[in-house]
Amino acid sequence: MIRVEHLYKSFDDRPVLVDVSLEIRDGETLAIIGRSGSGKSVLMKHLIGLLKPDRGRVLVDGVDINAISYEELRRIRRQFGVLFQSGALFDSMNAFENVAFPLRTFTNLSEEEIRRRVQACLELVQLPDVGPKMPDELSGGMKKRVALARAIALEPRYIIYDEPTTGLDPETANAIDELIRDLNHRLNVTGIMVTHDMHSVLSVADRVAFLYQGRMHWVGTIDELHRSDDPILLAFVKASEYQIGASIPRSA
Amino acid sequence: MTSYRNEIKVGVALVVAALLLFFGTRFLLNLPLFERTTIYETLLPDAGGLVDGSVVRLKGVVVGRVTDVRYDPQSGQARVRFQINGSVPLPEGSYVRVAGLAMFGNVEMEIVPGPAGNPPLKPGSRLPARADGGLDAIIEEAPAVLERLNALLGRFDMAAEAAATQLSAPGSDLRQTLLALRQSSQALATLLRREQQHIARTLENLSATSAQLRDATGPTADSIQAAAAQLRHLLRRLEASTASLEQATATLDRILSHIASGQGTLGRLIYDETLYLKLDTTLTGLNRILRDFETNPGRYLRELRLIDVF
Amino acid sequence: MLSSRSRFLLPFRALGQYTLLLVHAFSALGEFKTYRKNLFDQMVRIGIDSIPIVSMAAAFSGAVMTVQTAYQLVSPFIPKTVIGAVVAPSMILELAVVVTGFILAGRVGARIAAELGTMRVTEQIDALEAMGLNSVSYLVVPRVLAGMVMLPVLYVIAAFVGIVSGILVANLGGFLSTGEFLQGARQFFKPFDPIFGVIKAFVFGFVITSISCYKGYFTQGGAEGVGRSTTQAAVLSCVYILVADLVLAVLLL
Ligand SMILES: Nc1ncnc2c1ncn2[C@@H]1O[C@H](COP(=O)(O)OP(=O)(O)OP(=O)(O)O)[C@@H](O)[C@H]1O
Ligand SMILES: [Mg+2]
Repeated sequence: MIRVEHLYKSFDDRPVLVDVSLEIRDGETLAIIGRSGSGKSVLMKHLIGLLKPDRGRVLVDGVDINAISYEELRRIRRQFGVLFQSGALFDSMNAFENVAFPLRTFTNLSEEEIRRRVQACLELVQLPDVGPKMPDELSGGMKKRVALARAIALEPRYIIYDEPTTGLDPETANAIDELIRDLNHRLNVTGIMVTHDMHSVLSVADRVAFLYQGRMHWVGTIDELHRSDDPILLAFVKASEYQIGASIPRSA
Repeated sequence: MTSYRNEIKVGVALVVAALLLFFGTRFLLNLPLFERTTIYETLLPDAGGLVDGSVVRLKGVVVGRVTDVRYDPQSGQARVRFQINGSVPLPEGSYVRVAGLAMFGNVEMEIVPGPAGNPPLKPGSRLPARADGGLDAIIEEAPAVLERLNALLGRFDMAAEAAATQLSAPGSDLRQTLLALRQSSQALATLLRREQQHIARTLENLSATSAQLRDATGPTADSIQAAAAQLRHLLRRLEASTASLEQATATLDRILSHIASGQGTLGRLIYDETLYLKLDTTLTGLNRILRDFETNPGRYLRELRLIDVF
Repeated sequence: MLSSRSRFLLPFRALGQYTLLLVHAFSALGEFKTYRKNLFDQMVRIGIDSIPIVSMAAAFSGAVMTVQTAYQLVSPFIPKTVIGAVVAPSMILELAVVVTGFILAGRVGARIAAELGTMRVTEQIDALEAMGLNSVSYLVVPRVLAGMVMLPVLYVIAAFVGIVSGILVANLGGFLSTGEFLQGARQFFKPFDPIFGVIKAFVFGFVITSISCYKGYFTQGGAEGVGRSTTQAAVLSCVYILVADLVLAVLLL
């Protein structure tokens, strides 16, 4: 379980997060939505201690990750898989080595087992043949999927997805949604999905957190979202649906 | 996967660099590349310009290097470590002295070996040091060297004359060499006799004023030191020539006595290669000194006279 | 925009940040497993791959120095061996190591800053950290160690090549013979000279790599920021090489 308590963060005196509180329960998939620049990625980086809050706490399984030693923080981070918004593939390694990297670094698997595991992960993101390609030979969407394969390679307890479907064609996006759901059900992964793709949200998330101008404006289940009459939230949801074509479900 | 190509490359580079560094340093230090060296040390009242890397000589031959010069608070003296090439044994009773001038950057350490029969010194042992003596020592030393050279020239002349008269073939190489040698030695002897008066006077002067000179400071002291160093250098060269002359004379004497007692023939004398070599070096040495005298008349004496100035 | 007060404090902040990075790197020294592979990678890229260019520069400096010394010493009163006595010690004490340092500042310093800078702005460093890896141990430690180990190696090669090239040019140009050159070289040679050179190379290796890692690791501002870090890394490395050169000379000579 991850708890964010009264988090404040500003860059150069410009507040980005203001009094953000949030609870992420074990086994659920939580979607963090909000407009571009509202601080979603900043919040996500706080969850694994990549950014330090100005005020407030982040508790992972009850441990304040900013009050422990770097060594302990690293141990906690190993329970996370993170898909960065830009993919953040290591550009000195090909796709295969990128996915194999956490396995080689943190497990004692044999080379053969690693090869099989990497291949399985690449197939999960529907890229079975890109292993030998270098990151700059991949399209944006492919990079993101290889990065996703890398994030899930170690079968972590928590996975943070920063805009997993942005830039993907609808079909692939559906497959990724499917994958996230599957990971959640099959492996009981706790998912934190940062996105503005309402289709993803509706098909994957159990609960939704809406970040607006640096504040946690609204948190609730999908059902509650459907019933909500919060004007700001509705405006955001409406705009998203309008953008992707008047509520037509993507899978149709 | 686990090929160690990078590791091997790096390892090779490190080894090559270490070898280059080690052997390059030894090469520039004039140390033998593969032989082991032995470390000795000594205590000097005054290191007097000896530094890490200063040459160590034994009988004029470079046999090692100073490796470390530092103040030793226990004895209140300068502790100097030096390494000697492994193949050069130092018998017990050896001692060291410092020679040369800091001003010219040519300060050297000289080892005076102990009696040849003594057991060799253990590595790391401490050799006693003797003061070089400066001017006083030169003044003391000079007459003896000159005298010995003088006497030797006479003796050599006789031996060479005897040998030459016994050689019938007028055009033989040996005869030619001997004749040339006689000419050289006679010329040197004449020169020495002619200048003996002057040299004696100079040395007298020197010893009379040496006490005052020692107290001199600044540029005066430096030029005295320079003069002293040059004198010392001259004496060494004369000594070297004397030594080779002495050997040649001895060999000549021995062969002549063999012939006299009927044990050999002149033919053997002619083909004795060691004698030939010795005569040759002697001739070269003497001729060099003579040529110096002739092309630059009285240069050595002028050096001696330098000291008259003060 | 920064206030004038924080601009005044900027150098101190940079020094503090640099020091903390080094402390962090030092405390990560024990994680040998993390950086073992990178260490040898970097040793090859910083060291082995630089051997050709460093050798070439050293060969030219040795040759030019010999020709110029010969050109300036035409007096019959100065023995020719002086050329060897000038070229060899200059090469060993100063030229070989400074030439090596400058070349590596450009070649390696810039590359390190560009690499780490790119990794920073594309969140690759964040990705390493997020995995629970110590990014300083993984990225900075191997580069700095490789610099400190390989620069002395390059220096020794440079000094050797420089002197040999000096001897060759002395022979080919008819200035003096190998024997005369070596006699001069030996005349003022002190065994501490090459050791001093190695110490300098070691320090330069640290200066170049640590500054470049610092500049790269803390890059801000996208592709433009990477460009800025790269230039600054090369320039600052050169400047601090000269500073370190002077400091070491004062301290150790
Ligand atoms: N390292 C940083 N230094 C300074 N400002 C930053 C930094 N990281 C983020 N910001 C600022 O914080 C704000 C929130 O950024 P963030 O990346 O969290 O947005 P986001 O919600 O993820 O947007 P998007 O949906 O476009 O990814 C932005 O205004 C950004 O400029
Ligand atoms: Mg974002």
